[in-house]
Amino acid sequence: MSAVPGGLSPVEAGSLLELLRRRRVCRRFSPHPVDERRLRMVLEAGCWASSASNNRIHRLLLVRDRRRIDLVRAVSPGMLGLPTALVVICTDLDAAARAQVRVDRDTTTWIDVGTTAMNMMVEAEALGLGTCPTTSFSRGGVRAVLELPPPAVPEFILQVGWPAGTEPPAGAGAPALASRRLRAFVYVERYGTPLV
Amino acid sequence: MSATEARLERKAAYRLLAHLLASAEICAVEPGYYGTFRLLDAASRLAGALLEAGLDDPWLGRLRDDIEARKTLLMSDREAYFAFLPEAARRVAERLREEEEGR
Repeated sequence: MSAVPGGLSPVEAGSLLELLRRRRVCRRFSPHPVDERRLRMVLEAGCWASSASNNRIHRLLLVRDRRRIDLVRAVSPGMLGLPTALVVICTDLDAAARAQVRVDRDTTTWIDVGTTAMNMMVEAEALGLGTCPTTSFSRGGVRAVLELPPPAVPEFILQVGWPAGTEPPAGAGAPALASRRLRAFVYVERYGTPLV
Repeated sequence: MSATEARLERKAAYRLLAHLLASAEICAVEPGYYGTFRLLDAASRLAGALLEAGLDDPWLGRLRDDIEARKTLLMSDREAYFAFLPEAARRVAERLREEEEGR
């Protein structure tokens, strides 16, 4: 078997398959924070997920503030561990309205949440990070503690961190400037505050 | 540290309150058996909060550790998980009886 133009070599494709096979949910995290460079790679992977009709009605809110993570955990029974970062996937109702997406009827919007989450989990796995998907949370509670504006609907929380017992490698290097895609779809700490 | 008393700070109590109420909300949409997990997890958090507040009670520490070690059996070994539920309840009941008898 040889690589076809635009495709991975069989060895590379096998590595990807192995990555998918070995990924597991992480419920115990190390207190070491994840460096900015790796977090941006995880976020970028999420931004490249498939999107129904390329409508891009979801936004990613990165939360690293310990106090805010603790508050989210208080209203999220599905958060069993203490991750050092959260990525909250939100449906942006304003973006949905502009794209004429009927979020109350169009189930593709939830599929897009899943593909976004999966992209991030796979990228995180490739980077040696642990992730845990979370859907068991109080929507109203998360909106309140993160002070989300009315158009932002929290759909999914990805817990991210170094798995407990791992020692993060030194020297991740400086993060690249945020790509156009990251600037468009990622907010930091507060909904509406773009990544720079 | 006291073996009989612990003062739970309001912040810790409110977080437990938030956890219980959020659990009540999501239990309405999750599979019914997940309710057992939410209660078990809440019990562990209550035990943890009391220990962090200074309660010197090795028995409670062991119970909390056991719950933490076995609660996720729900995802991997459901039979063992459901066997643990009556075991945990029995252990607390025995402890209550011993307390009543002054042991």
